[in-house]
Amino acid sequence: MNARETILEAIERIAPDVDPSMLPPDVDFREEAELDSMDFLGVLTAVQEATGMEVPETDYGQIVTIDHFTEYLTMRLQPVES
Amino acid sequence: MTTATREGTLFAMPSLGADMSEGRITEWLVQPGDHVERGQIVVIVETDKSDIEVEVFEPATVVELLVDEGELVPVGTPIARFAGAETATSAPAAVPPQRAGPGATVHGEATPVPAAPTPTTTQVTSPMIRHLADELHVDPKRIRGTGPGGRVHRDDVEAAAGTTSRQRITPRARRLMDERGIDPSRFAALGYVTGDDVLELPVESPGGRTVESSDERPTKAETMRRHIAELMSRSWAEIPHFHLARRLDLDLMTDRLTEANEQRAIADRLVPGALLLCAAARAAAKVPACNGWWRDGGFQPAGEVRLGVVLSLRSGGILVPTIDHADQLTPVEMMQRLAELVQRARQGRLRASDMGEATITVTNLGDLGADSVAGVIHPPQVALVGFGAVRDAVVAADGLPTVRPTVQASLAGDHRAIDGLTGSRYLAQLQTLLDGPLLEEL
Repeated sequence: MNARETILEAIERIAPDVDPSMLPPDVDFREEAELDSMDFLGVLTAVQEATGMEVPETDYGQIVTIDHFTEYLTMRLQPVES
Repeated sequence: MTTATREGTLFAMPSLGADMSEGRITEWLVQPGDHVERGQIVVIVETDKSDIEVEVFEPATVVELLVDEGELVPVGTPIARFAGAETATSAPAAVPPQRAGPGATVHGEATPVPAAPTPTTTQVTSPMIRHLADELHVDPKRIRGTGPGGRVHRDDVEAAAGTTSRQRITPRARRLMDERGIDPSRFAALGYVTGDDVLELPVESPGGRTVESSDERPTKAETMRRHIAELMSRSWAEIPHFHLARRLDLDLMTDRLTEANEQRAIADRLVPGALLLCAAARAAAKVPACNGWWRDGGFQPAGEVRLGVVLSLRSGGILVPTIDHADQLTPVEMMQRLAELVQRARQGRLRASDMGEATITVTNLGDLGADSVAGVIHPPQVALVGFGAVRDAVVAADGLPTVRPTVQASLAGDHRAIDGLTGSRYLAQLQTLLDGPLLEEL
């Protein structure tokens, strides 16, 4: 599964009432999906379970949109997958 | 001991909340002959507020299902017959066994089955999707899910109903359209519709949420709205409210939390809300005059803290599940309980054990919310605690203005039961807890 699918699936798992395919990739997805801090943490946990990737709190600013989050994840995962 | 008898324990429709008088069996998760373990969820019951998963509290064998899926029965009605259980449910309305013979353990073979419906596993997990399927008269079992893991999306339901629209509307946009009475077709030209797109249009029918339902049965959202309306009207009419507020300085808490979260795996990280709930519960234990009920013209202290937590649903409305012995949970435990509750509430599936009667309720607006809240008490409780969003604010520290993270805490009190001084003590207690005792447990 690629990074984007992992993120979308994480969003859906945490917020089953949100259909992630409705979210544009280039906007603040927390705002559009109305995810609070608890939901957001849940999404990161689900991504971590799927990929082993820990996102530190200090990097939250880099993963605001689904595009940016995908990029962030892809870059960080590359060396591992090679 | 196997006895060929059809007797056993009657499993009754539980009372899931003080104001529940009847419940509808949505889905049986067991069949006659199944063995169930303690804590296993056996049936989904639809109440006015939510679908609730009802668990058993003793191991038992299912002998017979007495009520079909879809049927509405009063609280206390036997809905299944179990064998080998002392008490089939811990819920207050459990019916005592009728002449349960000694060792009346009945195994699978002695089960004359009353055309019990077989539980089916469908991919329709979200109540919202199920509701949509219902509205469009689509059999959920016939929908092919195209989402991850075969999950069913709104698109899939619409496709199955032949009303396919390729519009992608975000949850925020959908909510804003509902609130403003704006028709989705206005955005037919757009691929994605975001909240900002909706905000650009003028409001068409102010306050015009025109929910139309072809069913005779009101939708879940309508029923929930009616319940909230009834409870809040009663509260406002009966309870002489007073409101107190105090700005809490979260400087120490935030520092400690950031530090602790750096060390933690994501799954163990805490949000400020979990600490605020811990503080609210422990303060209630320290100021017991705020923790209990006004009944029969007098205050009845609760003795333990069962914290009601207001959860807002994206589809509108609120659920108020409760957390038992909330004052005894560590911040980490509170975070776990909260995460589970939120997830269950989102799926529209609370558990029977989440539905105990609250002794005090907290509404936490969260980081998407307003600065402060002056709440309405949930009767018969005597206090409601409110937290606004955590925000940086200029505060005076050692005689100098400085910027610190703060939260506006409020308390709505029932003036028949408590006074301003008691309420003030409660709010002061929150600051004390957040400055020391709680942080040591992080």
